Amino acid sequence: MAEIAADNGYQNLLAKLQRVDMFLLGSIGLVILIGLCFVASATWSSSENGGSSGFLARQAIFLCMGMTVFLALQRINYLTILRQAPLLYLIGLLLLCGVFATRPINGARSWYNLYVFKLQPSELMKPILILTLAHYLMYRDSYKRLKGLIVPLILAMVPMLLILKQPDLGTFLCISPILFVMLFVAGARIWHLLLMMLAGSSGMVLMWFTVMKDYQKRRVLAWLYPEEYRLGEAWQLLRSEAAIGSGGFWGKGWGQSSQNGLNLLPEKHTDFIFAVVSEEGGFVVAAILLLLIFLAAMSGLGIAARTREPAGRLIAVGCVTILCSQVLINTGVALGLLPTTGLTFPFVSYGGSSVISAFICLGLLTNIGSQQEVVLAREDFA
Amino acid sequence: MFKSRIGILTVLLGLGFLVVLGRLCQLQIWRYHQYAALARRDRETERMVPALRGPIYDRYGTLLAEDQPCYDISVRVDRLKLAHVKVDEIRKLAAKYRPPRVRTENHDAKVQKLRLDRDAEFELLVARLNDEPYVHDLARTLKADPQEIANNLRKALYAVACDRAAPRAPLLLASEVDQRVWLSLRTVHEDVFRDHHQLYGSLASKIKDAEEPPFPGLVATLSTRRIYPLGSTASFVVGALGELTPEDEEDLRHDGVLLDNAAARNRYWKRICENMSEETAEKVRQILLTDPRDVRDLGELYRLFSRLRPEECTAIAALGLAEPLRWSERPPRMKLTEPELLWMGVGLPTNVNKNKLPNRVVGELGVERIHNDHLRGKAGMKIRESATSEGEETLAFFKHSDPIEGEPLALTLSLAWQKAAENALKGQTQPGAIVVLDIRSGEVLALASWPDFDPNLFAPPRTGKERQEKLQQVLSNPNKPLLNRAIAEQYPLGSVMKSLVAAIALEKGAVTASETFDCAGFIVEGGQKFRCDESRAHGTVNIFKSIRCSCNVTFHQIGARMGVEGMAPYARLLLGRRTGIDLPGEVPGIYPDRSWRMKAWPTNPHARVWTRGNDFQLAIGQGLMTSTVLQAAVMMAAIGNGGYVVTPRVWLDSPPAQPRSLGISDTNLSLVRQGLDEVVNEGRPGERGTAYKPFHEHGELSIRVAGKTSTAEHRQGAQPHAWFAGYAPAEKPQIAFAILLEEAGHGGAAAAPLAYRMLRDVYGTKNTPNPRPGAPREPVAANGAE
Repeated sequence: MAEIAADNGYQNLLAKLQRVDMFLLGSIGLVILIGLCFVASATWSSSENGGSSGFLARQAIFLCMGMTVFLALQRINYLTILRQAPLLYLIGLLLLCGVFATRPINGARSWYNLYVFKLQPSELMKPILILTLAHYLMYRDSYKRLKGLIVPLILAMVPMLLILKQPDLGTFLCISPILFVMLFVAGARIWHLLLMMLAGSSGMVLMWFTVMKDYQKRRVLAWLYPEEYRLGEAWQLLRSEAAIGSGGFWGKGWGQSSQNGLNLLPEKHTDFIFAVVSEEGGFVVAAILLLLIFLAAMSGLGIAARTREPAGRLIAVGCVTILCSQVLINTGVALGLLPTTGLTFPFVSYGGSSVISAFICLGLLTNIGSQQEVVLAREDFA
Repeated sequence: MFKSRIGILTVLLGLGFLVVLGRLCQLQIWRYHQYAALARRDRETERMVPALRGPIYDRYGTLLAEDQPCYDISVRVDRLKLAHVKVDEIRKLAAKYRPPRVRTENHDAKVQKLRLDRDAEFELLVARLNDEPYVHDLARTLKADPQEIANNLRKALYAVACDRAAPRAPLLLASEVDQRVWLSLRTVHEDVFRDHHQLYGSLASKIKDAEEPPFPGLVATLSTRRIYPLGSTASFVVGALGELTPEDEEDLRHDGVLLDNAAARNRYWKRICENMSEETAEKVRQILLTDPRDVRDLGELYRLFSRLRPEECTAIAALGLAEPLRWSERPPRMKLTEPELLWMGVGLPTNVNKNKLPNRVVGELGVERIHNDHLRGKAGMKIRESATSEGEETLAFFKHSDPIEGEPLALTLSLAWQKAAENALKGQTQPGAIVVLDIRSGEVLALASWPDFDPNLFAPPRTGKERQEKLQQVLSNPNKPLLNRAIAEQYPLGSVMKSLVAAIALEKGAVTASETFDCAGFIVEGGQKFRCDESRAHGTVNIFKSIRCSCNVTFHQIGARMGVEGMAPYARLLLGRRTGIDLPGEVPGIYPDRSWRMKAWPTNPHARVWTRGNDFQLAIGQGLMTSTVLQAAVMMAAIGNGGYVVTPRVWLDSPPAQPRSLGISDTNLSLVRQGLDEVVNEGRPGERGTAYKPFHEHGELSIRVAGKTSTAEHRQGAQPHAWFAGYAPAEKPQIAFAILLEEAGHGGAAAAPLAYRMLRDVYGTKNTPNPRPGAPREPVAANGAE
């Protein structure tokens, strides 16, 4: 602690970054570069918002903002942030509630229009929820009893339900693994978790009959029976599959996508960016992209494994989980493995909130990685 | 435990990534070909290339109708540059009022409101269009109505504002734009322009280097326009075009001419395969299913073809299907034969809207209608591939079959005769018609009806304010200018009938050349007085004088001797039945014998009874009998050619039908011919023929004419129809003609002068005879019918 307090300025920052896993930053950096290329290509023919250069410029601004947040996070010890977790959680909930007062965009109330970009509070809720859960779980072992799982469950369920109400099924789905994985890593009993999953899946079935809107049901049906919904809900799905499949091993080359060029694929620069990457870059680039993410996840888990501080471990695992679940769900949707939900590919998709949220997670991860010498816990929780 | 759980997590994540990677493999490596084909089809749109309709010529090769290529000018809203309206505004409008994709409560009401708001804002936006220089300049260049251009532009912008059309989709602004006007527009090369380089190589190459076009955003596509260079001349034979109706389209699909949907293609494909054995057809199918562009290994193609037996190879060659060598000609931008193209297209989900026939016309009147199949040709197919390269849309065309032009059609008309006939009718206050036939073959040399119309008005697209007004004028004209009075309207024949009655009576022996009748100017029958013209008493008349002076009393008696049934075997060959001319809308006329009466009045016992008075009337072509002008001409031809009923026709290349014999000997007919000759040429005072005056008052014709006048009563209180029918030259007849003027009075005074004028135009007068009557003055240039 003393050593950290003594450091200041950029010297400190550089020193810290040197301690950070360059594997992690390097792979994420490459992912960002790939993302920029394909956002440019996906928005070539776009007529909205000033065309490709407009999109590219804004994405660059978002990345700069994200990196600023990232660097700022390196200057503060994550434990300082962690202490503010309850407050952040409250702010997050307020933002999520406040969003219901806005004008709906595409039928969903998920955004605050900040004119520079559209702030999506559910994106911010992801790191906040990780911090909150870590804050709650770090010095307890109540989660080893079934009753003790109730509080973390409530902590997670409140924002999740608010997000579901927006409605934003995608974010809802990618947040839920955070809870399970963090509890799992913290040491909750596996059969408790299995019980929760069972409850969760029966909850989903219940949702089908109660909460889920018709269009959401149709999406699921379209995923199961794409041919019947060929021109409706399954359009994106089939287009995306066709785009990816037609890319082949080597791809069509940058800017040569047909699905993209003919504007056949909606949301291609955000939720379906992976389809553009796979079509133009082919199997090679798509696999490299996935590999880079996997590498980043592995080094993230490495950081978690090396960290002795319990909250840090949990936060690191949470960040890796959110990164991976988002990537897996996003690519799963693009590849037709999962029903269509609107979810971005972190660091690749166009969009301010998504980029910033991803950088916050990355920032927390590197922050934890650079604090390894702080030892506050035993080797093992058991 | 923490570390072990991290390990488990790592494994789980790894599995997740493996699943995704596996799926990626499946799509991109195993199923690559399937998806590649699918993606290529998304980029391809089929276009039909218009075929030029066959030209129509007269018998000497003068052009009467032809198709000319012209251009449809469309606009791409995204490239439009207007002074007062920004395209971005339209785009923003579309985005702003786009209905939400997700249904919420009151969805319909909200969408309705959005629509209203959008329309209101759009109106404000386009109010500025009216004084847009783009519109005015364009209208001036295209020689179109600025209002119309503005209106079409407004429609295009609205479609984009409503999100109904993409900003880059070409939307129609003006059609039938001239080639030269198009060149001055320097529009974007779109779709059919490759053909244009072939058509107008030198002209089109000029625009290649064009810098900024004067009207950015314009796109031109090829279309065709029917031109009738002589306007209303021969319009009743040539006819006019109309717009293709959905039923016409269905017919075209059935005939294999329009192949815009899978059903039509499959049907056509089956027809192609009809002569192949099932086994061969299956093999061919196998081969054709392989899009040559998908075959990476040429050996594979050869293997496919090597499986064919030699006789199968000849079957395929006969179909015009490709040989492997042709398929190996890469790059794949090659022309395929229609069966190949067709087969590749079978099962291809075609967008019907994009695949409309470019020139949607069908013959509506005249030869254009009746020989439509011969003239129409067949549209070609072209596959248009759009691709993107660094954001720029590029277009390429390949895989097309050429359009097959319609065949030319030569008419039997002689323009000299036609013009002479039309000039005779032109300017008459009364409607009328003239038919001139070749006396032996029945070829129609002229067929005119008055008032006439300009077929250019009818050729689709019938757009433009001026044109609409003119069309409306034609359609609402009480004189019915579209009615072909030569074949589609029937009139009482009047005294022209006497020439036939005389011939029949002589043949049947009901009268002899030496027999005489007494004419007191009237005859009483059944309490009714039948009169001669103006009740003039002709005194003692023989058959010649009764024809010459048109004595009704004599013919009443002759007719009564034979009765309607006695005349029927002869008259029925000419009257009450269609002549069979190859023009649409011919009516049969009425020969009112007993059976006809039974059918016409099945319940009225009075009307069904045939009286002697009816015989009286039939003998002078009055009463219930009617005839068309064409029938009168055929009748005169039969008298002139020695008793043969010809079938008139207008298509020169159609095989002439064997003329049927009337069954009247030429000796008897020559007696009638003498009477008809006297009608025109007997000039002794007191014995003068009814048509002597018009043929002898102004200078005699170079030939001798024979004919019969007729003044046909048709309605109480109305002027009678004036007829003059005959043949020329009288000694050795070559042509037969019939002339009718509705309600024009006496045949000799009203109709015969028209015949004089027409024949003078063709044959010339005694002082200035025409050496080649009917032929064009100077030979037609070599670019004609050959």
